[in-house]
Amino acid sequence: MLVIFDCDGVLVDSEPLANRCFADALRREGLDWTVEETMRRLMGRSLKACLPIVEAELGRALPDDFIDRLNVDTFAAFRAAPVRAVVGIGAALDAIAAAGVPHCVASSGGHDKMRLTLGLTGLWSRLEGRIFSASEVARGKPAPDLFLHAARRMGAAPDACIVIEDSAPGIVAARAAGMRALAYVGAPWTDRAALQAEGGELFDDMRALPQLLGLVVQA
Amino acid sequence: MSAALLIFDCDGTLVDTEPFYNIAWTAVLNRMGLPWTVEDERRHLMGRPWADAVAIVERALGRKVPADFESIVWTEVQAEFAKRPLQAVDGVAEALGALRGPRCVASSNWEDKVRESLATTGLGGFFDPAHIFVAAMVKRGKPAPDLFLHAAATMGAAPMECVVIEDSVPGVQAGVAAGMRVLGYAGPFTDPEGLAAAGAELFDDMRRLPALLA
Repeated sequence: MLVIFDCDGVLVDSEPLANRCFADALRREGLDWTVEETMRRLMGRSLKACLPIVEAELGRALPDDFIDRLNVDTFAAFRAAPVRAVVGIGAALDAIAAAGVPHCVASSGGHDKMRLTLGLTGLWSRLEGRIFSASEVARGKPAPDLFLHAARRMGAAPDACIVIEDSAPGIVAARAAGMRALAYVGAPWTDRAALQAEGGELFDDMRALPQLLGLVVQA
Repeated sequence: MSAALLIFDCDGTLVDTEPFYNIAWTAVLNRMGLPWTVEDERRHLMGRPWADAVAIVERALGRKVPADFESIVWTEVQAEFAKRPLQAVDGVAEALGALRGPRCVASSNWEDKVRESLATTGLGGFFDPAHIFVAAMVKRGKPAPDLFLHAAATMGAAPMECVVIEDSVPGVQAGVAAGMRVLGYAGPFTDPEGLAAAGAELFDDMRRLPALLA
C-alpha cells in the first residue's frame, strides 16, 4: 500500500489564505469574484491550469507577472497568518509511519510553496524527499499523470495506492489513475456531492484516517 | 571576557549533515552525465540557494535540468540519510558537555527538522527545547543578522556579549552583521578561506571550543 496525500487542504489549511490572495489579485485585474467563488472555480488545480479559466472569464490575457506577484503575496500571507496544519493530520501521519506504510505528497502546488507550508506547520521532516509537484509532469490534476508519477517513483502499483484528496479535480485524477480515493470533507467549503459523484469515499475527521486505511484494529 | 550567550548554527556545526547532501547531489549529477566529484560539488554548490545551484548545474551541463529535478534531488538526499545514521559533528558533544552558561541554536532549517536532528544525534539534552530559533521566526534569514539578533533578544543577551559558532559563509556574515564575535568551524566540509574572509576566527577541532571561549 502507498498512501498519497494531496497537500493544500489535506495536510495544510492553506486554501482560505491562498484563495483570499487569489481573489484580491483578480480584483486588481477587474474580476470581482468572492473568496468562495474563487474556491469553487479554481481549487485543486495548478496555478497554470487556473489561468485559462480566469482569462476566459476576463476576456483577455493576464499580465506576464501575474503568477509571480500572486506567489509573493500568498507566501507572505502563509508566513503572517501563519498557515496551520489540518486538524488531526499530525497524529494520522504518526500512525501511518508507525505502521510502516509508505506515504508521500502529490500536489498541484510548486516545491517552493510546499517547502514553506510544510515547513511552517512542522510537517516537513516527516515528508521530506517524498514530495512530488505538478511541475514535474506534463499535465496536472485532473489528469492522472502526477499520481502515476508519484506511484512510479515510490515503486508502487497504481491499484495499491490510496489517494487522500479534498478537491474534485484531485478525486478525478486519482480515479483516472486507477487508485482508490478518500475525500476529506472536514472543511466547511468542501463540495461533498461533487467529491462523492467523482468516486471519492467521504470522511470528515483526519483522526479517523488510520482506521479507514485499516491500520487500527478495533478492540 | 566570557560570553553571555553562545549561539550555535545546527547543520554542519552541531550535526554532520553536509556529507549527505554532497554525496546525494553528486550521485544525481553523475547520473545526468556531469562527471563532478564530491569535492567539485562542494566547491560549486554548497550553501547556495536552490535557484542559484540549479543555474550553476545548467551552465555546467549546457542544458536545462528535467522538470522533476527538485524531487529527484530531495529523494536522493532522503535516501542518503536513510543509509546511515546522522552523526553529531566530531567532538561537539564533549565540547557542549564542558561548556557552561546560556546557549541556544539558530538555524536556517525548519524547526521540526532541527529538533529531529538534535534528538537523533543525542545532542537534544544540551539545549533547552525553548531555545531553538529558526529562520521562519524572522523576516530575513542569514546572511541578514535578524535571526541571531532575535535569539539574543529572546535570551536577554546584548549582541556584543554573544559568540556565534558557524560553519557557513552566510552564517558568519550574519553573525558579523549582528555585531557578534564569530567562531568559524573549518571542518572537512567547509570553505576556510571564505569563512575567514567573512570575519570568522577559524578553528578546526570542536574539542578546542571550551578553550577558545575561556
